[in-house]
Amino acid sequence: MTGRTPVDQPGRADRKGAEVRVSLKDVAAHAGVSIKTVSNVVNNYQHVTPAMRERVQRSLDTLGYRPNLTARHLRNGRTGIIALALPELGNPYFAELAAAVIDAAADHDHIVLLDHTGGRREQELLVSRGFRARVIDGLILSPLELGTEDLRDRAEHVPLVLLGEREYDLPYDHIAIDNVAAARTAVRHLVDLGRREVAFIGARGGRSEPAQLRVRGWRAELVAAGLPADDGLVAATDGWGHADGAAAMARILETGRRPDAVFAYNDVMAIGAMRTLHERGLRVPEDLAVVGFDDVVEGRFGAVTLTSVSPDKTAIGRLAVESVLARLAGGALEPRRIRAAHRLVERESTVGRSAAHGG
Amino acid sequence: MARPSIKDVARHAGVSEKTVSNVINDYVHVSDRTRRTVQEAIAHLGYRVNLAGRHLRKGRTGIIALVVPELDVPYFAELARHVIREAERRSLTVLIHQTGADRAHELAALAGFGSTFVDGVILSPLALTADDLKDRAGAPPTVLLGELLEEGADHVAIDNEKAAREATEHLLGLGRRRIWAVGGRDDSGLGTAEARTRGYRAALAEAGLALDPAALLPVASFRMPDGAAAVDRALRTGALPDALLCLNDQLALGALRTLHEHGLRVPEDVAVVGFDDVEGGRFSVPTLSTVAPDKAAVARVAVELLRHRMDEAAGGSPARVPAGASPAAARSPQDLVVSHRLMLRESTEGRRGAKGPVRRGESAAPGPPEGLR
Repeated sequence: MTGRTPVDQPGRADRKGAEVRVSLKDVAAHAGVSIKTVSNVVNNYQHVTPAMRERVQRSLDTLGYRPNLTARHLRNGRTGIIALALPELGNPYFAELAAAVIDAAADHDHIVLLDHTGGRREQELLVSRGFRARVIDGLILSPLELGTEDLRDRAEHVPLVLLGEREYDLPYDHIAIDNVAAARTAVRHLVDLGRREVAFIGARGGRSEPAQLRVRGWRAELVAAGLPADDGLVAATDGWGHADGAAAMARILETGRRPDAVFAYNDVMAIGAMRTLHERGLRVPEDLAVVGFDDVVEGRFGAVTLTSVSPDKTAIGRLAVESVLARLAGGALEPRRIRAAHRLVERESTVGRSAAHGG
Repeated sequence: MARPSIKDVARHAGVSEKTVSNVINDYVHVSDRTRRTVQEAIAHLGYRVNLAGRHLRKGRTGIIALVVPELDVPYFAELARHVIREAERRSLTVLIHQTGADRAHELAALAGFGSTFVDGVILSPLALTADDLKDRAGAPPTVLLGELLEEGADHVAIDNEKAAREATEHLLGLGRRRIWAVGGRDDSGLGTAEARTRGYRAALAEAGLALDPAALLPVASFRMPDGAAAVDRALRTGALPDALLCLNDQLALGALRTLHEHGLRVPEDVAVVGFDDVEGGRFSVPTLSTVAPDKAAVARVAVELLRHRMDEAAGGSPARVPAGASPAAARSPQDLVVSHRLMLRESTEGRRGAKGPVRRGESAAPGPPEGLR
């Protein structure tokens, strides 16, 4: 790339003589601080005092500085864009995860392009094979449907980092929590509360089985406790939303089974299930205890707050971005399997109102 | 390894370079089948467009940016899903960018992130002012959602003032008189919250009620914790409302929790209405009455209008004039109003009154993209 393109000279006046764009240098001179400090403020780095931040911000505002988030990257033959491909933006877990990735990318001066795959295999394939990748530096993909074989022949040279549930035997970094252990923790909590018939909501049939790991953890813990873990306690769903959880809960109740606890694949399904229980006049947690997965904000504000497995979303976002950037920096890194942390957050849906507030 | 060229892609796909170029530049005169073949060749070879070079030649990347304050506010995530669907139909890629309502990020979006790779911007601003829209030479076409920064910008939104008035009238119709506006604020500006507050005030005035300044509950942001905290603070002063008009569903869902903790029944003691019709409000206990914007229409109209502007900016004749825009006015700024409806659920109707989502009180505003206001 030559030095003559407008791309390379974002700070200069265009040929028509429009006003010169304000540079970091101008802002630094105006505020009487170093360019580095201005850059720190613009990039929102931590090590700036509030007073300094305010002073620089005033100069930024006065001069009308407009950050050029991408020009620097383009000079390096990069775009400064990381793509994040997610199955479902409407699910608050993915929205919260996206926010974490966006924040982490911003810390490294990168923009995130979000790609919504709808959890459809064709779309995930297209994304992973780099059709969109012609404009990105790296790809963070959270697949629902893709399997190891789908990704094995990937020819695209853009760094790929995998997120989420599936197990892969592939030379890519993969960031996930330990889903089996997390599910076991959730079920153990229910067993410890004396629950003896624990249903699972949100299994999904067929070749692709992202919920498989959680079902496996659910079953392992129940078997270990000598409790029933038969298929009659498992409700498969087509989707992952509130309505799917509500319908699955209704189906289980209609079989005549009377579980005293439910473990849902995710929080919104758990919230949907609680809605069904409410409509049937069943009390949570007295009649049925409910545990979700994801620890989304919505679960903290329901009429009955939701006990949930809480993956460390901030860490997942940070690890994913750092992983992409490490690959971009080059060097022959071994593919890494990174475990993000999780913990169980106990709320009213299992321990009741007084205990949840007392604890 | 040599970087694959357009020539390589053409050879691999068995088509001309011109055809490859047409696909990359998103021209319409390519059959779906050819497009697919070329896209597969692009993917297979790992072809990457030289953006800087393209920028010089065409200024077209096929990428539009959807810029929203917070993705983890479900309204924006749900809207994003619609925008992506509409953009896909037009072979556009959507870059979603979250500003955190931060002015520097909104300004960057307005400037097209340096104008290098974004052909157009759909921006839902919170921190910008009207002055920021001036002097945008060289920046890509931009369509604003939500906040109306100045008369004369391309803008797509529901009629927020009218919607808030209808929602408040619904509460008044239930006999409620002490109605708080959660997230309400001084209503002189052009912003969404201001417009909704105006509608609230207008409905009260029409009912002969004075606006109690204490009934406007300010919030730092429009999330569940803010709604919960604002209502909790107000209740602790000893005041007691009989209804809440919450300026979005997140505030309303947070408020429901606070009312529950204070032992207040919804809707018997306090009726609650939100805005946005997010999925969570259909499954909460109680389910949430809300103003439902036609999100699909917001997305469709915004993408159409932006596409139109992009075609204009590229110097070609626009593919089509956006629905609702009068051809004569096609080049002047469009302020397009999308329809909304009031969804009545348990938080105002009670359990018996609302067997599932009851659709009543359809807005008098005619259907999707309505054209100039």
